[in-house]
Amino acid sequence: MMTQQLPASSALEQMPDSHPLLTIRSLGVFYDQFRALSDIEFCVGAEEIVAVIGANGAGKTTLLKSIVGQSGTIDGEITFRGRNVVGQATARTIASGIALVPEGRRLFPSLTVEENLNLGWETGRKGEFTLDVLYADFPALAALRTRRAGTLSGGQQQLVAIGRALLANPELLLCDEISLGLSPRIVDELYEHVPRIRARGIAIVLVEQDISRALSTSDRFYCLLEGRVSLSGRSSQTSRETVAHAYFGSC
Amino acid sequence: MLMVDQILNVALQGVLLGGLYALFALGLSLSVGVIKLVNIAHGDLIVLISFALFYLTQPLGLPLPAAILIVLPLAFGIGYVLQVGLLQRVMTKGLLPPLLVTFGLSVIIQNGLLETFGADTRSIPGGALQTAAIRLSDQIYLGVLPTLTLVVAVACIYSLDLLIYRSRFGARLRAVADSPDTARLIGLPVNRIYATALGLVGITICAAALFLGLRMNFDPLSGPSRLIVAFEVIVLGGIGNLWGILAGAVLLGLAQSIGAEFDIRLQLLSGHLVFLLVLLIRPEGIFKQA
Amino acid sequence: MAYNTQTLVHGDHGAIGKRRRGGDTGVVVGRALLAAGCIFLVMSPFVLDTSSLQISTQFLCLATIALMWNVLAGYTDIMTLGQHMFVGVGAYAFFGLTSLAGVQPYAAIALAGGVSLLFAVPVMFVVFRLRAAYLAVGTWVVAEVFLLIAGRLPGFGLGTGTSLPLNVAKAFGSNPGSRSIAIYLAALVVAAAAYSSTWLLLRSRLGIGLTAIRDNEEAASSLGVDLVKSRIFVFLWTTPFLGMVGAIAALQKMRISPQASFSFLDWTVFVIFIVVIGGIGSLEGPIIGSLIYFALRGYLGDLGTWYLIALGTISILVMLVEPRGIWAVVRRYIGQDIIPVSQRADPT
Repeated sequence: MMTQQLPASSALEQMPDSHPLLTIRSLGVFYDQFRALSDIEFCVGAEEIVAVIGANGAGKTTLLKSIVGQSGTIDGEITFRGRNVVGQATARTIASGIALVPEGRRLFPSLTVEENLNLGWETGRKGEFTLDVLYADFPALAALRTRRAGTLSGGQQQLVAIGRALLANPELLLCDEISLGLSPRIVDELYEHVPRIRARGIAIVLVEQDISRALSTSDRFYCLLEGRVSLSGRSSQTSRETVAHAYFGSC
Repeated sequence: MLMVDQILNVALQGVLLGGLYALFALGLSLSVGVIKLVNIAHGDLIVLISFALFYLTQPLGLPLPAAILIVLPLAFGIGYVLQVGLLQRVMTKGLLPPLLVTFGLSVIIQNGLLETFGADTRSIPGGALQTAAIRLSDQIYLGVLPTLTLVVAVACIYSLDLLIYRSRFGARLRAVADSPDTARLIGLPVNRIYATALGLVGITICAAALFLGLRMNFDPLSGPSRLIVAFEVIVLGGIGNLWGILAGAVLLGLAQSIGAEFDIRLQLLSGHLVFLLVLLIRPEGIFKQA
Repeated sequence: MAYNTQTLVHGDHGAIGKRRRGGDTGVVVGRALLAAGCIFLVMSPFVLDTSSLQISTQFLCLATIALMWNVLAGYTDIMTLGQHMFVGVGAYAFFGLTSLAGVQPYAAIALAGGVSLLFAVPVMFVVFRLRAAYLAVGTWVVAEVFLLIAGRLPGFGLGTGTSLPLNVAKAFGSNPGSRSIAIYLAALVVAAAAYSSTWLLLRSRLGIGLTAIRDNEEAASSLGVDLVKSRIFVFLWTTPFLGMVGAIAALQKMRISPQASFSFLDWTVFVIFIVVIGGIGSLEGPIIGSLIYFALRGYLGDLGTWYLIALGTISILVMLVEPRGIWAVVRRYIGQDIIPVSQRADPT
């Protein structure tokens, strides 16, 4: 198994801004006796797009959930805008500027699209994103506003989930496998929104299984294997093959 | 002519009885729908509040409206505290613990009331309201209190409908009912929402307790029979359906009213038998889940 | 609506990899106590006076019913609030068989169990349309129906009930002393049959499936354990024993009546408290619970309401602190079952 991890300091040096938005040091996450993550070093800078790549069960979702405070037992450090968020209530973390687009969309099926979106707005910070602004940016959403979320297609639901997170006016958007279960064409459409979101000043963490897409969309990446970072670096400077090795753990 | 009038009166009394039963069932339906909890102590909580109202008006001599104003927030508080202090801790342990906890609570309330008030049956004095009736014909009596009960029941259902389906708070309630885990993921204060929902249940229990006490006698051990009525109503009407509560309650009221017409001791049995019949034929209830 | 008893009753995680110091000694002591208890039960007619013997009879009846409720709740996730209906049916059947049909009283006890089983079939058909909590309250409703109908039966004393005729009593003994011995022995036989047959059942192939359901319903289902058939079988399994206890209870009181024979308090409330406090999902639990019930009753029994409040509070506390009851605490210390049921290897 090839484990090449850039030490945290050099990862920082590669960033445009040396004060990262989110820093994770020595993170370990446990569920009962099962260790989901070990020794994670991770950081995201303002307005950066960082990809987290890995196979199923590598710990990607656990990583995102631990940032918002919905994972098992944590030891280590997670700092957001200089403040430690480990142990903080999820509501507070979200209100301070982190929003999650959960794996599998996770809308409330019996609520309308607009009700789902409003919940995102109510639990987040107040900022430039309001319902009207969102509808202007994403006309497809406006067309769906009165539909019950359970009746939407996968792609539509994913858009609503992203919109819900955006309405929380986050500084950091965590996207957990937004391509899951969707056709490539729809995924392309979704990914077109990613740079537009970054252009609004929002940093994005993209969890992805598709290596190519992850590399082509992100500035930097981390590859997870069995709960550890097996590789990290600049996306534009790393080949797909190199990542594939770290992804599968082959030598 | 006499026969038809008689039948109409029986039907009318059944519908009016349904109003009271709808009030019993409201709180149970709410807790089942949102918190996914069948509260075994539901009937006993109604009786507890009835005793509270009784105590404030009888030994303490307060006028009924004042007593109601005191008891309403009290009932909300009981529901809220019950959720936060007790039910919240067992909700995550599977489905047996919450059932057993509310079962224990039921027995505790019954015996606590027995100790405090003794085994005598009580009622809440309502003065002229309790006996006033409009005589529509020789055989048909429209009791003022039963009619008021039905009106209040419909008003409560309507208000709840508005609250749950057209308000921001209602959206939160439904979200938490859909998926508490997702709700937590996006930062909703799930425990607080549950607690508020149970507080709301407390308020509906207050309405039920008021009209129960005015219309009927009650004693410390009356709780289980109210629970059974509430339960039958929500199963008859379709679990999760607000207006179904009214339909189920009226059906139960009619069944009991008709049975009582043959023999007063058949009243309860008729209700149960109709319930079992519907359960056999159409287990999902009159209306499917909303 | 699937139950998840994973957290309620799961394996001995507390003792994984460790043999507690109490370990083997604890098991030996426990089994010795159990054996001593059994011997005492058998010798009781020679040792105890009549009133103590009657209390022992009640103990045996309660322990039997507690076991039955426990098998349903602890091994198949069926919480029933209506098992008192089968106890009542047994009582009424016993009366009907002996007084109206002239059946030999000892045989009538067994047949009363059969009648309960017969009634269980349509009851099951109706209540199994519901699940989980709804099923629980549903059984309560059906029990109410039984109670109401029993109160309308001519020949059985209608609402006030009636006494067992003297000749039935005499069939068990010519004087109260010998009668109480005979009734006690009948109760002992029923309890012994209940516990030993249930023990065998749990060790059988069906039983292993049940234990699997107890530990993790979803996993059990995916392994091919037929949940539906298991539930049906166990539900029906419990009813003859409930019926026989009902017959014995009627014998003890020399009376049947809707309120007493179908008593929600005696046959459901107390039973649930016993099992919860003693420990759901084990054979030792109902025994421990019954012992505690009678011990407490000695001190608090006179204060009926306070006794119930105490039991209720303790049950709630058990659910909050250790849902698997007192037995779970003891077992963690000992590391093994005293009455070995599971055949899975203890993880070392």
